[in-house]
Amino acid sequence: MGISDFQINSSLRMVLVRHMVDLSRVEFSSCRGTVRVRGHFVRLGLDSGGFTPTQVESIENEMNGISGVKRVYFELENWLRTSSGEWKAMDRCQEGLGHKLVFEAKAAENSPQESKG
Amino acid sequence: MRLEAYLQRLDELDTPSVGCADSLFRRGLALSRLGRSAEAFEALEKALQANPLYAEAAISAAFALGESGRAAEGFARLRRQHAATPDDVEAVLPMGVYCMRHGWKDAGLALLLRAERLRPTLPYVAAYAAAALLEHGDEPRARERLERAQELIARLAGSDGSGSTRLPGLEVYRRWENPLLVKLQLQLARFCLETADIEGAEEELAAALTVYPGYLPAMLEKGRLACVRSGPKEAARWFNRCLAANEACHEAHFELAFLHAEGGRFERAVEALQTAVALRPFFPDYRHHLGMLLMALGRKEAAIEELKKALVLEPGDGHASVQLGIAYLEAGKTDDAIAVLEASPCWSWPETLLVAAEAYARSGRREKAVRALEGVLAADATNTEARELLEILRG
Repeated sequence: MGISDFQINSSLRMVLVRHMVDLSRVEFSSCRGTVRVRGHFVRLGLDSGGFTPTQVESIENEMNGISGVKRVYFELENWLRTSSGEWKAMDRCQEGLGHKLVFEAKAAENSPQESKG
Repeated sequence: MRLEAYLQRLDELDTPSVGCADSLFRRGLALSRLGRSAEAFEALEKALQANPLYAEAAISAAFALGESGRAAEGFARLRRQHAATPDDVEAVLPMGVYCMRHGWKDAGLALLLRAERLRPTLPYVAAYAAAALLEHGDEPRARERLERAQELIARLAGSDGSGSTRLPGLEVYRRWENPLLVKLQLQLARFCLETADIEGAEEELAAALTVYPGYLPAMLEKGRLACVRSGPKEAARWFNRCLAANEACHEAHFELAFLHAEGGRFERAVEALQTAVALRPFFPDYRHHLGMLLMALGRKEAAIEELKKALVLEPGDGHASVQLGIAYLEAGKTDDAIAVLEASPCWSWPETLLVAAEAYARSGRREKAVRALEGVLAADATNTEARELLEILRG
């Protein structure tokens, strides 16, 4: 089996885990080697932020270095790449997001909102 | 010291005043641990205002009330939570502990024994039951529970031959503190990782698991940390321990699927993902990953089924729609591929247009293929694949 999108996704996931990115706040997937990352880069355990521009750049570089990845598109809501190519944080706090244990939600535990890979 | 630094970090990063429920909850736990009950209650109340269904905040606020001399009020709040989910050990256990703390020992014992019946595989629940029995002077039954807890720990730790741990003395449980304070240790572990203090993180997780052996969030965290630090073997051990504590732990199956795939054990990866999907059939991301894995293994029809279900569950999932388009295309179902791509919420993405161009070209719709490729290049002029395909199409 060649490098599949699944394997690329698995490697992307590892990069994000290594950098403690909250996986419930970010979507990512490879499509024939083209990777798209959407959502928020938020450090696990925080409501917002937790990263420096250097760290975001490091995540980007690691993603680009994954075998089989041709290009990476970022559509982050809390980080923006400036015209000079630098990463800039956009916001501080995203209200009401993150992990919550809610009894009502637990009663209907199969709710699609509960988790993200 | 670490706790103080963590609180300061919360101040720097979060803006509790604007009502981030999670942030306020974390602050409330940290303040509770520092014995600042009134401030803790205030933070937890704000968390509940931000999210009135936040059960953990409600439980912790009740404990903070109890510590502020308003035990009956706290009990009334816990009873409301308990009534909402009478069979949820995460509501039953704290209520039992609370009753024990405030002297309602018969009710406390009954609740803790009930918690034990609800989750007989969790060592710390058995330990709480043992501690309550001991306070009732029932030493033989307390000892029996304690031995059972120890057996459960040995089973968890020894299931992979990596040694065992021992339960701390029952005096730890007999402090009757809010059991949710264990979550603070998880937060502190993450806080340590933020400053690259790996040892500190390990220390916090170990402390959490010493008092709460079998506590799934801490074991999952250990597994994820092991993925980064020690490699897949150690990570798999932790995820397998999660399954030994609770075989319905869908997160552990999900994590194991990736570890199996990384190790080239694709069939086991499929099995693990299928189990995760069976446990959480309405999680679109589980189905999405399963679909992609099946596609990688050449099982196109099965992949199509999973991706279709992922899209039904989350119609706005652009990634799943493109993957479904690819799956149709690779299965030779060009018209289906075109239909799903054209309806995709991410039609304008270069990768979607590129797949669509291929589908159009295969079905003889050359003009549409050209327009799609022009769309790719309009969005990303550096896309060499699109440029090359366009050149071929234009002859």
